[in-house]
Amino acid sequence: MTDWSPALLRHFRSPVGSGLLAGDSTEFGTGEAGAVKSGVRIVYQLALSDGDIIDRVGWLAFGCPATIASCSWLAESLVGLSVDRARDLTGGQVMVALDIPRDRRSRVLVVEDAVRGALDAATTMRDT
Amino acid sequence: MARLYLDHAATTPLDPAVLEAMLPWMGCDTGFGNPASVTHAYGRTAAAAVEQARRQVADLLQAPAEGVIFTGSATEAINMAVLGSMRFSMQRGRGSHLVTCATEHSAVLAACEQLRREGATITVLPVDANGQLSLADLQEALRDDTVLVSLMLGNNETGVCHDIAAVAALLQGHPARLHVDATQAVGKVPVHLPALQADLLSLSAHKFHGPKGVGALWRCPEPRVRLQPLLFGGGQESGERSGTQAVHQIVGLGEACGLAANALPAEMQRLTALRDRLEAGLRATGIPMVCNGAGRRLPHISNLSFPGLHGEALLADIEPELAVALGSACSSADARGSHVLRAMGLDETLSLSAFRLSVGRRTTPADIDVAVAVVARSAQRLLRLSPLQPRGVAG
Repeated sequence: MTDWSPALLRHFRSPVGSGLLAGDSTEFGTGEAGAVKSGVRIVYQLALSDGDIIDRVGWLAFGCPATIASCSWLAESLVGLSVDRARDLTGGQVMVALDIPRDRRSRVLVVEDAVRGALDAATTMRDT
Repeated sequence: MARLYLDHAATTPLDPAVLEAMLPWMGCDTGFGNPASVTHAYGRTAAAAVEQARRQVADLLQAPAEGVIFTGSATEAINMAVLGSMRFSMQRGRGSHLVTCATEHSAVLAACEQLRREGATITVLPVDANGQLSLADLQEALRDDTVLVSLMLGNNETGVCHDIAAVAALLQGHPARLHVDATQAVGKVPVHLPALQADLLSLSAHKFHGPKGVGALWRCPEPRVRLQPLLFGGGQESGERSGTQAVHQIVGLGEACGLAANALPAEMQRLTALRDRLEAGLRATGIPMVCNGAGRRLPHISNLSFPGLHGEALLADIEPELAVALGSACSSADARGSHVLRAMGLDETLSLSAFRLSVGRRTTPADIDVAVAVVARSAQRLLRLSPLQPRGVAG
């Protein structure tokens, strides 16, 4: 079995921001990435405040502990950031923070894709 | 809280009585003799211990003792049976076809791949969704040049049993030999050669509370099934497995066989009750669950899928309290997952969430109740995170 880091296990066992956002779907952006047959599937949601600040995050994840912990770490990091600052967050930062094993790093990139999709959807919604 | 061990299909703890029996054969002053050195008492005493163990193995199998060949593992015994019988036949132009099944252990399938590289023809039979083999398919696969049919008694991942007696009956009148990989079955169910009518049977000590590093191949001594040896040297084990016998390991295997013979069939019934309690307990929690494999199964193995969950996530969640195995060895090392579950046609949501729990001699009903509670708690938590379930709302 893979040796997971303490930081990763902390997020895996007590995840931040899990579940989908409540309310009208026009109030937040949703990004989805991955496929069940690849062993990872993510739904990520972000809601923006009037000042273009991320004020709510929700997510669901099917995947290994690294996948779930990555969703949680990003949820913890994203709330309070501007959209521009959020776009600067990368999978690489998640890998370092959670000490993701080399053979699981591709899962983090799937999470990153879902987050970027949610950011795009949220900003599109804001602009329309 | 101590971690509960429910991975007895992987290995079992050494029985204290087995350890006790082995210790005198690891002494510094006595018990170190080479069984081949029969010119003095050291060697003769060791040889007698090896022959006593041979009788214990044979007694458990209800078979002639001269058929027992000690090996270093079940993998070696299987390779000796598969490669040895095929090479013996192929070198004499007596046939080069082997029939096996898609759900066999990798020791069989990898040996078959090696044979394919050496010019053999291999037929791999499919199984149905329950893991069961079709005797009609087997009948159809047999050819005039079929040398060997190699099938396991009970599957190591799902516990599903092949009807070996029926296979043997089908082979009546056909020259093909029957090899049975009984590694998971020995010590859990009665494995009696008069009933199975196998020509070759392989087993491993550590699967039934014996030591690791020793196994055995039983091959019919009369009429003798001929094998091309894998190892050449001093001619030990009737010339079929050269190398100084590991007396302490062999004594341990013999003692484990003796203990198993005494415990069966009551132990089989006890293990069955534990397995059924586990499956019923989990089913009663209401968590979506599928039992992989049906029909006659070994009593100690449950292969369960929890649709919507990722097996690795569940494993990591319960690991501090339960030692179990992923039913699907799906990781970056083997992205294709379990070849057994794939052969049974499981879709990704089932194969990626598959677990194997296997009970053993020291498992109690109270252990099972704890395991049910731990798995249920983790499964419910992870299902709330899963996008493959009816969607929840963030709290």
